Parts: sequence; structure tokens; C-alpha cells
Amino acid sequence: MSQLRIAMAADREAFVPGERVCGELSWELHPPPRVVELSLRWRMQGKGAVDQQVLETISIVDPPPSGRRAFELQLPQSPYSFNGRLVSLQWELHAMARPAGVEAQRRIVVSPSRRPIELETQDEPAEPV
Amino acid sequence: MSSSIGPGPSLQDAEGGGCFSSLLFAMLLLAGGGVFWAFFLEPWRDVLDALRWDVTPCQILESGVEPVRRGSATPRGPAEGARGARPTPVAATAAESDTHRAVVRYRYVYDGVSRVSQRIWFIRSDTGSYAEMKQIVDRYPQGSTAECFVNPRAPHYAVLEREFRPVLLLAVFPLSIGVLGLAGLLSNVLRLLGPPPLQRLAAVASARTRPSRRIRIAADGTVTCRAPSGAARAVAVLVLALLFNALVSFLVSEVVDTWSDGVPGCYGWLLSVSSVPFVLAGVGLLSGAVYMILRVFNPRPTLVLSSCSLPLGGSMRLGWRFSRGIAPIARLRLVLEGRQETTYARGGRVLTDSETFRTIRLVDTSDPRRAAQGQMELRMPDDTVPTLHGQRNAIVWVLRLCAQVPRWPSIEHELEILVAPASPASPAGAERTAQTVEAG
Repeated sequence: MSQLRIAMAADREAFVPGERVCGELSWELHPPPRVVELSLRWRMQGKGAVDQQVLETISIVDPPPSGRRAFELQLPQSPYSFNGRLVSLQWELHAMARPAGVEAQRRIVVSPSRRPIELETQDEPAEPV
Repeated sequence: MSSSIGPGPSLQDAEGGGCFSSLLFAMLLLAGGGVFWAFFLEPWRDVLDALRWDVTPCQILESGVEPVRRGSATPRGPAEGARGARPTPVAATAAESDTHRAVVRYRYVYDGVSRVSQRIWFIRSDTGSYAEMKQIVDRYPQGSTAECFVNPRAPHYAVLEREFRPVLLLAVFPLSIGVLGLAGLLSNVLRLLGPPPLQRLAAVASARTRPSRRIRIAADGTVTCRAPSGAARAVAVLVLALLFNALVSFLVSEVVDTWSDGVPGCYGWLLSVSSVPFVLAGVGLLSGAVYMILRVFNPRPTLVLSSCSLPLGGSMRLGWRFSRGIAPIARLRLVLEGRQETTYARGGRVLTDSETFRTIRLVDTSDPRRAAQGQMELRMPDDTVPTLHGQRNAIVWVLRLCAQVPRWPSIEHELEILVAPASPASPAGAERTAQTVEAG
């Protein structure tokens, strides 16, 4: 059975902006793929279409039918992971083997507090002028 | 690296789109309204009005079918006789033509005056296939007597048939086009009546758009943003209000006309009732124009920021001042709002939903001197999200100013600022660096 797996170093799933994301990509694919790609991306979901941006992609061309490869990806300073009533943003690592189309993904959190920021309604009082 | 993120909407785009759509809606209104007015208004009015016309006996003088030549309404010869009429030489050629016209001439006496009319129904040019026209003239053989319906206010106007015909339903098409144009125009005007458009410093700061003439960035990075006067919008609303009311005045004069001889008939009532929303819309538009003109004379606010962007956990100097206006500011409120926005399509329309997730009250004063001019340190919390513009979704931070002037429209001004991620020097950034080291 074909499979693709993303393992995070020390099982970490939460990061601060600017940090490096380390882990290992492993695969066992029959027939052997032409290329295996690992991407770091974020997706901002609203009521309509999804906005997404791929920050970095690692491509492994003509890999053996099974193998593993360590990766290290650099997170940018922003955006942060957040959840809102109208809009939410998630970071993820996404792996795909072509042309078979076998996929794997691993969701991560990126924020200074290492927790998704909740966009809840907050009203703060005025400061004296 | 690939990306599907593009520039966010700019103020210039929004204004251009509004102008184009107003022009398009105005053309739809003129086209639809013009066709309805030219071809359908009078027949509709007559069909309803004729229910009260006088029934008068008449004598059929001539009855026949004549061919209509392409490019000309002139018949080739005398009309073909109907039942009981003399056969004419044109009968053979009439059958060869595709389009024919029913011709019925009749005499009636009204108020002691003898008159002749050729009108069968309200739309005079009764044309169709030979068989259809023959069916009509067969109802009125030459030399027979029939009943016609005479308009008591214009006795020269008479018809043989006054019933409703499905052809009048074609009016739905121009009417729909006209109503669509009117609705679009009114919605554009309502948008103009709302608060002035958001000025997007964030787009300027992130180099997505060039500074507008109201946003100036000095060499030291100080940003000055002056609120628009609203004069152009006021003039636009005034012109639209005058145009709309000029059109409505025709309707009103028609209504007045129907009431000039006392209580009107079915048509008069229908016209009167259906004109009420148009008159109300006209009054509303004029009121809106007056409101906007008053707003032009308000004191104009100017916001001064010490920097183009504000990092999370950082701070900037924020100043405000007002130009001389009609009266001093009675109350000033200044807030920084974080909003989440999402744009989506529904039912062929593109809609944008917006929700404020964070409100930071900066100033709320009723002291006229403090309200007129001042400055403060704007400190940005570090437990929130920076500005982010996607093609469909966005996080925006807006400085919102609201000032009240006694007995005058209030002043509203919005400026979108760029909130940047926390810098490594800030406490949030320091924490992050420590965590990064620890993780490494």
C-alpha cells in the first residue's frame, strides 16, 4: 500500500514566527513516483474562496519506491494562525507524490503564543487624553 | 515559491467602479423608461381609462385587409373587402405578402358631431398574418353597424375594441430594464450617502498602491491624512436627485391631470398609487442631497501618524486636528478597530461581510478644545493579529474618527493603517527569540 508521512521533530506542532520547522518526510510508494514534494503553506478561509500562499517547497525528483528525508523549513514573521467568526487562517505542511496524487498533510500552529489567536470581540476603554 | 495572494481593493478601484456602474444604470433607466414611455404607457393608460368611455353606435364605412410592404406602410392598393364588401383586385396580391393590416373605417356621432375613425384598438398599427387580420375585419363587415367606445375628454378618439390584449404584457421587458436601472442608481446613491470610503494607508505602506492626494508621507515617515470634503459626492447626489425628480415631475403632472376633472377612473387611481414610491424616493434623494451639502461645511479632520506602520506591541504618535468649520466639535471619539472581512459571491452578486473583532478606544472627549486638536501615544497590543490582505479575505486595522457638531451632520473618517508583525525588539519578539533559542 502506498503511503506518505510527515513526522515532526519532537512531535512539535506549534511554532513561533521566524522559527525553523524540522521533521522527516517518509514514503513507500508503488509504483515509484516521479517526484515527491513537500510544501509549507498557509490557507485563509472565509465564506467564499480560500486565499493561500505557498512559502517554500522541497522537491525530491525520481525518488526510490521507499525512503525518508529530513527537512527544515523557515517560517516567516507573519501571518499568525487565527480563528475568527468570518475568517480563519491555518498553517500546514503538505506533501504530494506525483503523478499518483498520494497526499499527506500536517497542520501546525504559528503564533507568538504558539496557540491560534482567537478573534473574539473585545472592547477596550479609552485612555485619558 | 508560488502565491495566490494579490493586492487588496484600492480606493481608486472602488470609485471608478461606482462611476461606471452609475453610468450603466442610468443608461438602463433611460432605455427601459424611454421604450416604455414611447410604446406602452399610452396604450396601458387607454385600456384602463376606456372602461369609463361612452359606448356609441357606429356605422362601418370600409372593412378590409391590406398588405404591408417591406420598408413602407403604404398599401399597394385598396383594401381587400371583408364579408359583404366589394371584391377588389388587390385580393390576389394581398395573399402573397407576409404582413397585413386590418383597415376598418367607421362613422359615429358624439355630442351631435359626426366623426370618422380608423382605430380598432389602442395600438393603431394592427398588423399580422393575412388570416389573423381577416379574422378581425370579419367582425366588422362593411355597411354594418357596431358599437365603438369614445373618449369623453377627446371625442375624436374612439376605438372599436377596448379589451386587454396580451401584447401589452411586452411592457414587462422595458419596464424591468428601467426598474433595474433605477434600483441600481438608487443603491449607488445610498452608498454615496453613507460614510466616506475607507482611506487605505495600509495599501500605501505595503506599496500595493501609490499615495492618494489626501495621504502625504513626509521624508521622516510622518503620515498626514486629510479627510475628503465630500463635495464631489454631494454634487453627484444633487445631480442624480435633480435628474430623478425631473423624471418624476412628468409622472406627477400626469397624476395631477387625471385628478383635474374630479375623482379619476381606474387608470388614475393606479397611476396615483404607483407614483407614491417614486415621489417618496425623489423626496428622499433631495433630502439626502441637502444632508450631504450640509456635511461639506463640517470641520475637516486631519490625522497625523508618526509612522506608516505600527508593529504589534509597538507604538506610534497619533495626532488629530480639524479645519475651521460651521461650529466647534462637541464630542470626539477616536477608536482603532480590527476587522475581519470576507468577500463572496451569492446570487450573482459579490458581497463583503465585515466584523469588528477588536475595538481599542483611544479618545472620547466632550471638551471642545481637546477635541479640536491633540495627540497621543497609540500603543498596539501584542496579543492580536497583524494586517493581512488576501484576494477574498482580509484582516484590516482601521482608525475610526467620529465627531459630533451641534445641530449638524456628524463627521466620520476612517483610515486603514498597516499593523505589522511584532518586531524582534518588542517584548513579544523577545519572547519569541528566547523560544526560538530554546527550540534550537
